[in-house]
Amino acid sequence: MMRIFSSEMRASPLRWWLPVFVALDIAMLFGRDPSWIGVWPQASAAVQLAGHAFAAAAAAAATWSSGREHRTGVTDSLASSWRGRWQADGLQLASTLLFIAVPYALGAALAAATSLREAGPGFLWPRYLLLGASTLLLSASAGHLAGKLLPGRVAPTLAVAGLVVLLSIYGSPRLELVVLSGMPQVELAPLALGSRFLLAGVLALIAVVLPGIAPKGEAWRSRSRQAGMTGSAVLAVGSCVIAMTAAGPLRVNRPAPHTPLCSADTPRVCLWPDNAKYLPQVAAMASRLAALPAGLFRPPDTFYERGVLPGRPPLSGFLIIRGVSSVPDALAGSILERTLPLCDLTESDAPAYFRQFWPIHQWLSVRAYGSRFPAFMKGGPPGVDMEEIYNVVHRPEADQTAWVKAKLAAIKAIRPDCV
Amino acid sequence: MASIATVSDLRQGYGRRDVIRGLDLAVDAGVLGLLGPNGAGKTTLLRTLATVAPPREGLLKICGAPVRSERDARKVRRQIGYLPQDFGYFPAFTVEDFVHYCAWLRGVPKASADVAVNEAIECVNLADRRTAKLRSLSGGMLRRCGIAAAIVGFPRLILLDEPTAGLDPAQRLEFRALLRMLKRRGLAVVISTHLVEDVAAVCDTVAVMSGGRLVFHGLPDELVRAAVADAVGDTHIERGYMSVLARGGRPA
Repeated sequence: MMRIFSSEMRASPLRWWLPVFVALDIAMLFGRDPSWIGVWPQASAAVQLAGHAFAAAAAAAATWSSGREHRTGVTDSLASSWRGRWQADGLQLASTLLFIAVPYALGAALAAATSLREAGPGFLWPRYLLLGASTLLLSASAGHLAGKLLPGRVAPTLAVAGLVVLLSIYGSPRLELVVLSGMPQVELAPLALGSRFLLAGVLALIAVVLPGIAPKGEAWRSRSRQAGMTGSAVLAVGSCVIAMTAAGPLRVNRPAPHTPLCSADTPRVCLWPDNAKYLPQVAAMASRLAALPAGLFRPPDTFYERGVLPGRPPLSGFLIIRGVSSVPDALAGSILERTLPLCDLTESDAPAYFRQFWPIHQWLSVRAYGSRFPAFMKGGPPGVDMEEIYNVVHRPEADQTAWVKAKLAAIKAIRPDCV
Repeated sequence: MASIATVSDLRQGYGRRDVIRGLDLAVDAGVLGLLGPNGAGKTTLLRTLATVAPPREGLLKICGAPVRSERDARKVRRQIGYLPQDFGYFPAFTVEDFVHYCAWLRGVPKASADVAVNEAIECVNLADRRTAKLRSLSGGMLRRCGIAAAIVGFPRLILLDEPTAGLDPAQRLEFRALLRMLKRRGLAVVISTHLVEDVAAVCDTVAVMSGGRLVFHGLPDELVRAAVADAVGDTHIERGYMSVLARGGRPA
């Protein structure tokens, strides 16, 4: 068996594609925003996403590989074989899967190696890796089946690759096959993940066991038995899809950590332990805001990352997405939430109110950043003159305080009950 | 001695068309040459004997066992080596890998597979090309590789459909020597061919098919004797063959 498997490996058309798959995987891992490095769930999701990037290519390659019977005309040799056809198919699919698994495993190893230095305790999250593996298994199995059943050369290859792309962009939470990021607030539901593996496994089994379509009158099986087998296969896949839907959403909220990771300074910042590498940056932002002239604002004692404190409203707290770029805005929001309590604005008051509110918000954000002006903040909220903010943050502290006070006074003039 | 393969009252065809009707044939140890014009049903008969396609009617027996179902077919396939007319191969496989693959498909025991593969490759004089990829071989070499795949492990029934197509004269002589060796081993070999002289040189019995029926089954000498005076052909056996075809199975 191993001798034949080794022959399949040496002769597989995928051997030429292996360097391409490896390059694609590495390009997807490191060619985009590297903020996942050092955060285990993010790194795990990145590995999964990179693997997913070549799922369509893997499906096409599997189609091409299993279609060799039609291209080379070995049909009669296989049909007169003592061994069950499933054994030959099983070995061929196994070799295809190995060629796909190598770049995926390499991607996982690289992600782990680059994250080890910065990341906190823990390791890659197996569920994300399994999700990627299930998608690859599903893609390769669908490809193998299409190549086996459809005699064309290019059409089935393209069709399967297209189908996999289509499945990837389909965004239903109950049927999604890919996740784009791995924030610590969420995790993959085991049942939903299991249902995806079940689908991939059933499809692999069908790809191996379902007999090829023999010309009329040339099959030992009766046509009704053949139709029965095909019907059972369709039914099995349909049941798996129903099971996926019944299993619920793939991503679910993760319970709050028993011991959040908090800074020692005041105001404290508390993060998910998985985001440990960002603690110094976020703590520095909080310290900068704490250093603002006293009496201007009412900062909270602690800034929480979303999901860290149980019982808080679901959308409260800052998020660390692609690094800390969104944190200053969230910290500014938390401060203004306490300084300017929520009040009902009339339609006529709102424009004037927000003309004063957003500049203060942006000023706070920039101050959290250390008065640097990050490129992504150049746009700012609608109606805010960022040029003005730019000028203000470079003035002496006393001038800035006066500017803020004037804005707060203007707000008070519009709605005294809002301050 | 019991025949290694028999078909009785065989009806076989493709789609709605019957290619073979009411054919009876027994294949014994030795070499049986199957002659006939294009479309006579030779390939269809070989595919039936190879258990690729089930008979539409009639009974197929291999090594004494009736083959009525896929399960029956699987039981006897270890005893059958088959070189199809349209010999398909995997271009990226080496000669050795491909013959190994075919041995594995046929269920040649793992313990003896290496020896059987080497022996088969040497029988067709491809030992020096064993590591060559099939895509790099000439048409004649590919045919020899296909023959090696069919004879690997020396199954009791060897079915060769146009085995000499693409072989040069020297290779055809070597092939005849191979057939004689297989005959000495007590195996049954059926070769379908258009080359009547191959049949005369090496076959123990000859069967001539025409229009899906067996119009002659006997010794090569009997085929020679069947020749009529004005029959066309360069050799005695060719004239016999043409005469049998012209009569369509009717006695001379």
